[in-house]
Amino acid sequence: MSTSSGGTKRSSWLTFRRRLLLVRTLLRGPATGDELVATINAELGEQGYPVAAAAALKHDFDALKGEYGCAIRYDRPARRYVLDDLGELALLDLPDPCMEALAFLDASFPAGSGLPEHAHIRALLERVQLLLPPARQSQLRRQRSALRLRVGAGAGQIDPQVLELVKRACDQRRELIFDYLSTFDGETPRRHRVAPYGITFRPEGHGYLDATLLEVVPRGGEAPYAAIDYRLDRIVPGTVEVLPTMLPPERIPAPRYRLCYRLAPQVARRRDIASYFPETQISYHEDGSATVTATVTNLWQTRQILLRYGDACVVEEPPELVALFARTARGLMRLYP
Amino acid sequence: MSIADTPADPARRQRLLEGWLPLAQEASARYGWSLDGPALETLILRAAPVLIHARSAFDAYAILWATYTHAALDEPPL
Repeated sequence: MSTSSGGTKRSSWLTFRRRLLLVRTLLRGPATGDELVATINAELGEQGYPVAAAAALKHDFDALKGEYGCAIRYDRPARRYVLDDLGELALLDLPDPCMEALAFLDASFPAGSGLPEHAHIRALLERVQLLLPPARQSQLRRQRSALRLRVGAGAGQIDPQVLELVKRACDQRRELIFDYLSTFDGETPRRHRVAPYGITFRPEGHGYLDATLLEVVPRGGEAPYAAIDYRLDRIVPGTVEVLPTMLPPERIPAPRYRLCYRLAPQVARRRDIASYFPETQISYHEDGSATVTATVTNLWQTRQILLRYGDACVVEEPPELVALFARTARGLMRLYP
Repeated sequence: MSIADTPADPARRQRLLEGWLPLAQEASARYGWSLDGPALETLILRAAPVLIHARSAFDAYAILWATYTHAALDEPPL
């Protein structure tokens, strides 16, 4: 009797272990039946599945669904099994501070946002959430942190191949050519040949190629040899070529502008004005206002940054930027007469 | 990699600073560094050899944070 009982216990334990391994394998990602059998047999050896494994595998799936409430489905087009829910096997639980941290990351890297690297972070978070019991998953959804990193949220998707080719051209100091759809191009992109110098990212998450324009077809309003910040997500995928032509040793200087603007007391009074531009110098006045001078090349970006001050900022120099603001103000007047 | 690797060419230096200052300023505000203009420029120039490898704003924040922390601890740059 005791031998039979020991044998039954051992058999039950092996079955349980095999089913846990099955779940663990599916946690790595969807898998075919053959892949599952191979992984489990590699771990358990002779104690894994028999030669005709299909029936045993199905039996294990049925048990996992029936006994533990696991949701496992067969993705017919991909011919793979997918684990959607761990049911009673959701064994991970976390202290409340860790739940808050998880909610913070969950809110900071929402599904479908931004840059390709975020997809991996999102996949990791989803795996961790899958391991939590249903009640804790619900808590996490309620708890989505208001405080978030705000990285990439709202940023357009940057094509990985575009990013690779742009980085290669910068590293090798070679000319680059691509189709680009600017805000002013409507539906038809134009072909830009540029001298690329580097990639930068702005706080809102957008990535930019800093380049000197060499040629654009058809021509638009761009000044020859202008320094332009090209938004990486507006470079048309599949159109980027790194050209053999090397860049000259020194960059063609972009037109530089002395920037001067005055900030009203309501934003300058605390004397903690931000420095957004190179060579920023700040003079505070007795009435609480401040005059800021700096040097810039990109008047469009300068306007975007200074617009955050609303009517608490008056641009005094350069005249080209004053004209840009005047145009913006006229546009706003049309919208809010 | 060191600060000596940052561009000596004034045109490239101007554009490098102009491109990264908004994010560096945001990092300074977010992490409570309260850096003024010259300190932000120094931070960017110090981080520049590594910033060229940034593939996202998240990377760039992390690089600036690490560069600032190394500098605060008087350690060599990344």
